[in-house]
Amino acid sequence: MNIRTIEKTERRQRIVPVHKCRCMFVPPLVLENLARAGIEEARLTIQQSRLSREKRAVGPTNMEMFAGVTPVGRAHRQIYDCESGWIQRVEPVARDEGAPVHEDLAVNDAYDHLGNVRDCLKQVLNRNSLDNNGMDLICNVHFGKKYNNAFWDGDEITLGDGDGKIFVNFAKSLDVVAHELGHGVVQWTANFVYSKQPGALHEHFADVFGSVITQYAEGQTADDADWLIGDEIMGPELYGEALRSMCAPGTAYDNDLLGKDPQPDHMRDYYTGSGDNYGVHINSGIMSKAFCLAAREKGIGTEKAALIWYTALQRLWSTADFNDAVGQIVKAARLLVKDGKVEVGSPQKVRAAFKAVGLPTP
Amino acid sequence: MRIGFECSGGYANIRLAYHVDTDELPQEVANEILELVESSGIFDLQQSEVAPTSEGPPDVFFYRISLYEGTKRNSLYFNDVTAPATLQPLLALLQELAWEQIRKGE
Repeated sequence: MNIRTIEKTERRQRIVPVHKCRCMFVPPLVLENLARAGIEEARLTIQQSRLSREKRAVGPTNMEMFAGVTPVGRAHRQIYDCESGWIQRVEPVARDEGAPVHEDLAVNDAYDHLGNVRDCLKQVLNRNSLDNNGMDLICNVHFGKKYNNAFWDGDEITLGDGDGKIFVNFAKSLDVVAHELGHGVVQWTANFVYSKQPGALHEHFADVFGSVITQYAEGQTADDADWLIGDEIMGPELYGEALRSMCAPGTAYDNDLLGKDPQPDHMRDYYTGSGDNYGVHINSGIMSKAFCLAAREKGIGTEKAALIWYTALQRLWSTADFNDAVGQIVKAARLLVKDGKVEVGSPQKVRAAFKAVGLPTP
Repeated sequence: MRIGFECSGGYANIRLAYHVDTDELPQEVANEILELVESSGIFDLQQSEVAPTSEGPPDVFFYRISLYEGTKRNSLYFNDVTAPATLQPLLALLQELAWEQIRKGE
């Protein structure tokens, strides 16, 4: 076990008292306001400070982090096989960057999907991995027994095999992998608080990455894509269903096991309950529908819509709400027209997409 | 032993609940639960050891579990990254039983 694995294992198996140092020369609130104004250096400082505090809490300190010198990584893929156990990063690495095809299908699927995510981020958005600094892409497959889930935990993704009845192997699905890694991109940009509207933005942008990267890898356009999330992991008891529909929120599933898809497609049906961290997976549907409508507009398309949304994401902040996101997305569309990167008329089409879901636009 | 169990969230945003008295279960199932409770050490866990430190991380499962056996009782709230690995087999079984209950329409 390497040090990192030991650190994470110990963190999971025993409690390390965490001294959450809040001592910073520039107060966090000032940095957040600067980040909100689009000062990229402030956003990076917030991220580096948070990372420094977390690393201090659990292990040796990398002085380069404090010196503000962050080494550029190689965006290498590392796939770990949890072998149906509940520990992440079980050594040895099952498949490292450049290693030959593995005998395990889930390992190979994850490896390929991570490559698709990395390539799409670079080719479409000119982003060097999740942190735009070449961080390695780390994935754990075969986590747990019959584990019906996948998640991002701050620096890696973890995929279950499903129970074979409700869900099947999560590593099989590119949109699952891209969604979870999309949370990583969000973490390294706006870093939305995972609750209420900021949390719904976290989920929305992760679904955007899931859809965009899937369409990119499969050579699909906005018109011929199915815009479904999670359709590939449905088990035999949920044949034909999906978990979310970007273009038709509320229609992805309706069955005795899961109930009915609760996503609204308009602000008039906004979920106001406390479940799901006040609706992070539910209200994300409203923003997702707007993305789908914009992407389907003649003259925009999925990749240009992704560029507009991504440009906005880099200008958003952790407590941003839907109105803030809409404002930044429209602004991004205008900036990209000015720079010749999207067609004239795009901001107007983006405004129309938001109007269709009941969100006011500037 | 009486057990109240809830699992929510995750990539699929599921919501599971399972409330049971092991005395009312088939012996084999009850034994399996009790063995996993024993091996998990759950009665010795403190909430402070497993409490989530934030609303996230994204797409983890969140769990609430309450157990009552004679004078022993414990109630905990945690998620996939704060739960000790020793607890996970019990959580997996309780989820399986919760889905089974849904299938039966109970």
